[in-house]
Amino acid sequence: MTVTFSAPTLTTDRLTLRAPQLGDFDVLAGFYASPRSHFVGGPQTPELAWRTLAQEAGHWVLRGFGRWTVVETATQTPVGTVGLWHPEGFPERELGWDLFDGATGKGYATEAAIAARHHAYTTLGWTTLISLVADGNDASARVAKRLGATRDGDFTHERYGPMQVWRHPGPEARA
Amino acid sequence: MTAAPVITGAQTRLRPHVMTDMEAFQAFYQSDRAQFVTKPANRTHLWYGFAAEVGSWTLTGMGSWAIDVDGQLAGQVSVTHPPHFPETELGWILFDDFEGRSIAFEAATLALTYTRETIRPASLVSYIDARNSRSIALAERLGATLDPNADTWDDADVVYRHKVGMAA
Repeated sequence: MTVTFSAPTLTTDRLTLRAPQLGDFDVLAGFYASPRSHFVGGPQTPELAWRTLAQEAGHWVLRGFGRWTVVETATQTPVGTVGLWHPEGFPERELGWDLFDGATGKGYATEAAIAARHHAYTTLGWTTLISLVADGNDASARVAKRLGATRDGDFTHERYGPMQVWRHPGPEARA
Repeated sequence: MTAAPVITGAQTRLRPHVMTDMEAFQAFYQSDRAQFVTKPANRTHLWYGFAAEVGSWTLTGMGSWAIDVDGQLAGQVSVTHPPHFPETELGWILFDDFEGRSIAFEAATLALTYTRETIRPASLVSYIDARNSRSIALAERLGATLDPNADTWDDADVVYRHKVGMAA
């Protein structure tokens, strides 16, 4: 017996949110080798980048939800990892976004996060969501603000250090 | 999203990991039994290692199984080939209370058969700490032989080679 289930594919005007795949490794390893990843646990060796990608896939199996690889629909280029995340060590379920090099400044994080949040509040029936933003990651804090989230205290992660908690508007306001 | 296939033997059942298995591994890594394996530095790393071996099935068609004995978690057997491994590896972890009953041997045999018949890697080895005599004894009981010329990813390890393909 083999258990399988599908991660749903979400689409927005410009983006496709699909399940993580083996072929995402090179771009993810590139991201985790770059200074851009220092707010999210990087830089990492290829060994740890593999664990990160495989963990994203395992998260779907273990939790029944997870983060998508975000692909620019027109070019089929992976531009980031966005979605619903609850790894061990997080205080509650999180809406997270990481954009790869060259994908910033286009509103992609916001566009993908809106789709992921809508999925959480409608299909999954969740009633609240936070986003954790590492202290000093101003670009990510701006995305949280653009999404209508507001500051809701602080959290210290055992590996990522001090983080700001941003809480999203509930489904009644946004869904 | 593919999870590990369930495989049933005489006294063990290989099944996909579930979230609650993680606590048993947390306890294992705190114990002396973990002296020969790479320990996660904290619970975040534990999650990454655990979830990665689950997600490995989706990405590569291989990964780790929980070893279930009468509904209890007895350990883990895994077939993985992350980028830093020179070859595909068959690995095992057995918890303290399940020693001496050939449970690891049966679980590894089930995984080995599945690997030979379904995964069919180009080659298959077990990386074992050179001081871990009990694990080396299990590799030999499984029919693997020491390959002194094989590449390792950890200098503390010796490499035992399993027969796969036409040679198996």
